[in-house]
Amino acid sequence: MIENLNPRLKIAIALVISYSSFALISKSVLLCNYILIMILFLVIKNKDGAIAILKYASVLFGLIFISEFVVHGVIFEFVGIGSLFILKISVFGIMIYWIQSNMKTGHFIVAMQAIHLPKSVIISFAVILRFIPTLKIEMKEISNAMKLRGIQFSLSNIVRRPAKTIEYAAIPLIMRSMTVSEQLSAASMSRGLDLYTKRSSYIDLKFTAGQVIFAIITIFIILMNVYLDKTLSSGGIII
Amino acid sequence: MSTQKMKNMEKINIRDIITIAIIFVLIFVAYTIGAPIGFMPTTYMFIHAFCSLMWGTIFLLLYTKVNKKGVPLIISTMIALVMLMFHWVTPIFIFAGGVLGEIIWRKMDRKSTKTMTIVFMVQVMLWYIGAAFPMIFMVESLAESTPDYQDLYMGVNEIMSGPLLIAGIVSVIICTYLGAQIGKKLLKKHFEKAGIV
Repeated sequence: MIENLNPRLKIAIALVISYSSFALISKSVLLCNYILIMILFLVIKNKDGAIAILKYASVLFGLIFISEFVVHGVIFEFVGIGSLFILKISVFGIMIYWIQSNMKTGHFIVAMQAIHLPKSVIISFAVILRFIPTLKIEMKEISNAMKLRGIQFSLSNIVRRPAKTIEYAAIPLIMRSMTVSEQLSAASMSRGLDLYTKRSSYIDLKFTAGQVIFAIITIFIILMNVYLDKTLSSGGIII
Repeated sequence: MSTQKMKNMEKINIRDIITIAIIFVLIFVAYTIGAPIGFMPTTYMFIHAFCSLMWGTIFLLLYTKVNKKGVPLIISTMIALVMLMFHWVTPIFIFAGGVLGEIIWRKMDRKSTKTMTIVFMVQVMLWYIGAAFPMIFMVESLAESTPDYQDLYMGVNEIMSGPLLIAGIVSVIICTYLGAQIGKKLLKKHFEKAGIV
């Protein structure tokens, strides 16, 4: 059952791929990491996620390609640098999305308890994982409401009416976030997360041989990518 | 109210942890909006100043809603952990900002907006110094590790080593103060009426 990867293995893979991607020098190796990320999404049967990453990476790698081989100039140089930076940094966000897709928060909490992390750390991570998809939905709804009121969250509005646009976007977002915080607090209290005693759970999270082999192979591929990157850069090749 | 009950109220509980986690996400949403302005050497040093205008409301909301000991240190530690991916020096400064903020938080009256503003300013200033430090003193190792950014780093180094560093620091001080004032006004205008703080 590789599609239901153990949260501990998911986090291990996500950490290795995120930190290694940020440290990569070679763009072609970064592209390999992105291909691996797409495969990871397909493994957990999230086809939409894989397609979204394909589109996203294609646009940004395309911009890098254009800035390096097609059009030259200061602006395009910064477009290339910016695209590369966004590609590197967004691996973190993508991997958070990968961790939380098809994973229940309860499973995550049990998995983290198994590695004896402090309760405050577990709850913080669980809330962050749970809150990010909600934030995406909230932002979309706020954007729709702003459109309806004629104050679209656009570059022209930010330039023409910055205070109003930011206020109309930020205040509802913060307000909704605080409401979500209250709801999550109530939900966690009803599940006994605030108790000082050790929590028991009916969820039994065990590693299966298939899952462990899959995680080892994935981490091995990522480390090979890092090795390849170091070899290429030491030879002066930074493509 | 009994002393035991008072002590329990002073401790950070699950509700506070959830609020801190959500505020932490909002801080990074604001950072994601502000960070792209730093892709040019001349604007790199104004990322923190620009973000502070948005962070002011978020930080002040956190300090008003979770007005307990340890909050500045916790939020700084969380930010430092994420910033570990940029350079190892930056998190040290962010953490130091948290410690300094925590000392101020404990010594001064933490219910007052003045204390909140000072703590916020200290945290962002140390974050800025942490981000600038490798650009000024470790630029060669940075450029070696990421050759694609070599021109950007060298450009930023040239600017930051000169008097413009002072301009960066002054801009952070002004913008953090402005951000806190905007936050104060917005908290009063929207959040107090809605009963959120």
